[in-house]
Amino acid sequence: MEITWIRAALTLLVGFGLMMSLAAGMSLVERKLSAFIQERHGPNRVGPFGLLQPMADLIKFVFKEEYVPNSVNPLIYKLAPAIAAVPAMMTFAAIPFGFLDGQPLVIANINIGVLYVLAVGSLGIYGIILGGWSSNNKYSLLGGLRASAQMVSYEISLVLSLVAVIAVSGSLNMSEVVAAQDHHWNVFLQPVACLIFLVTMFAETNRHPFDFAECEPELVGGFHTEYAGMRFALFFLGEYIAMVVMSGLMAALFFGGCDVPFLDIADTPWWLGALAMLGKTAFFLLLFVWVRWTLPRFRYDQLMWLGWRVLLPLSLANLAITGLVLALLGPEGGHA
Amino acid sequence: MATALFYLFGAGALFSAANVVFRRQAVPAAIWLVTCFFFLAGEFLLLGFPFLAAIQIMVYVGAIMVLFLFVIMLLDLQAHQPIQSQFRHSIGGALALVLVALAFVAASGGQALEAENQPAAPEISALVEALFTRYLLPFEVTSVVLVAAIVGALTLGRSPGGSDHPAKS
Amino acid sequence: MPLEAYLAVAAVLFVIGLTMVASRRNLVYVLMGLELILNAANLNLVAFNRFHPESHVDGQMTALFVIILAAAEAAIALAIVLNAYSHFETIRPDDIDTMKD
Repeated sequence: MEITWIRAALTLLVGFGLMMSLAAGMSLVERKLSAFIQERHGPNRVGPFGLLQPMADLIKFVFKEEYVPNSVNPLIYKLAPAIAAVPAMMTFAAIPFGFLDGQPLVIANINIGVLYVLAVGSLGIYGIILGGWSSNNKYSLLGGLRASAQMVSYEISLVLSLVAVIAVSGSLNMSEVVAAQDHHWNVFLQPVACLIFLVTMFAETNRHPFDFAECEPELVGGFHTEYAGMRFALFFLGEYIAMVVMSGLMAALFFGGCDVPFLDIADTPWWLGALAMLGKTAFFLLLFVWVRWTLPRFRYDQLMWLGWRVLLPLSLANLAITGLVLALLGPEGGHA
Repeated sequence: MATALFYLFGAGALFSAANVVFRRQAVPAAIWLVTCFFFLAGEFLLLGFPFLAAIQIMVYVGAIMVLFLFVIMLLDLQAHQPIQSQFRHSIGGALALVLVALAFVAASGGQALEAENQPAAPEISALVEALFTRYLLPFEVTSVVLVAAIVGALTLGRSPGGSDHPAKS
Repeated sequence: MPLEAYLAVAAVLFVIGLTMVASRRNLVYVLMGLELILNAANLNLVAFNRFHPESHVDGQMTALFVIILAAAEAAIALAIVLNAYSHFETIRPDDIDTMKD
């Protein structure tokens, strides 16, 4: 009994630390990589190569004044950043990092893990909507409106692409989806679903080229125009953790998770598997930055056009074809 | 433990639902409704239906209420809404309805079944199997309803002339 | 917990939803009350399913269909609300009293 508690506490501690360090590291890497792409130096004052910059940022956020503008709805205004950050953190719990003695290395090994991630992940939008509405500012409100329409539109394609993956893997448990990908990753079985997920993950995290919720040339700061200090930092943290989670989902559901190419999952040492998973996640995190400085921002009607007239039919067709092929292959289809 | 959780979720759901009725502003009311759905999802979990709880949060909280908030923000309701005007008249009606509720509860009494004695809830695979065998017809009909809803929403969303429709790409 | 406890919660929830539908002079609130009513029904279905194992998955399945139909209903109803607002400049159900121009 006691060992279970200690184990649970340790898992939580390690998982939380991993999530926070990934998010903080991402904030530094993004600035460094942006600087590299634009031939600047980026942060290089705090610590060697600017490595301590996230700490400095955190200290700055903590000591800033918690200013609440007069015109806002105080309760919702204060609640919104937490609503933005907490669901993102909760989804991280279901991402598996490998197997240790046959037990999945995951904070919460949920039987319906994929559904859990989708359900909790769809809550992050409330932080943006409520932040935008409670700020009582037209730019914030527009940012919130845009975000709600965008995220609802793209969530459909996201879910449908994952349904195809679930159909191929035959399980809703994230660890089992990873285990089913031994030697044949879902990206080869479901390339279209992978592509759809790739596009929708940018829209769901409100990142460039779909960052209409903040879109500085049009909306000042969008939904967080009225926010400063730690509350702004929570929005920021939520966005970065959402990026980490989306990259982790991409790695686990499409790129084999802890599977190292040419090795059986069962034969892989646990640290190698976890390292592989981390490496894949890091790659997609870098992709976020790479895309940000490569593609121009879409126009809003183009975004809706892409979501409803391209991604939605594509994901539906993909799902239909997947179902047809699985039916033709018989009950032992998919990974068999 | 289960009893305490039941009371927590039940009281939470009812408190949130009551707040939905009494809020003057539409956005806080919608947020209370979201909280209510959360507590109900908790009740589903407690009854042993995690799948339904996940669907409840995904569809109700993640989609339907976002749509509500979207419309509320588009209409900017609190600006011109004397919504409370007839509210006092309805308190008597509400009391009558509470009596109806008590009658419901009384009528359903007499068969005290305990959850502890029940077998575990069916797995998702059983659910899916039923969906594609016994419930195949309702399932297909639902898809027709959804298509009808999509077409209907498209027709309603299209502006009458169609001229100020944003050009694509 | 006994079955009646769940039924009681559902009944009160239903009544609150009905109160909203009956008392609010605003289409959006009416729709929110409708959602409450549907959820009360769902809680009933699920509770009965749990306490009557011979029903297999019937209650759960019906609740699932209710959720799907609620989504379709909300989409259509909110589209109608938006249209009504742009046409009548109000969403008080009492004021929306003409079926054609």
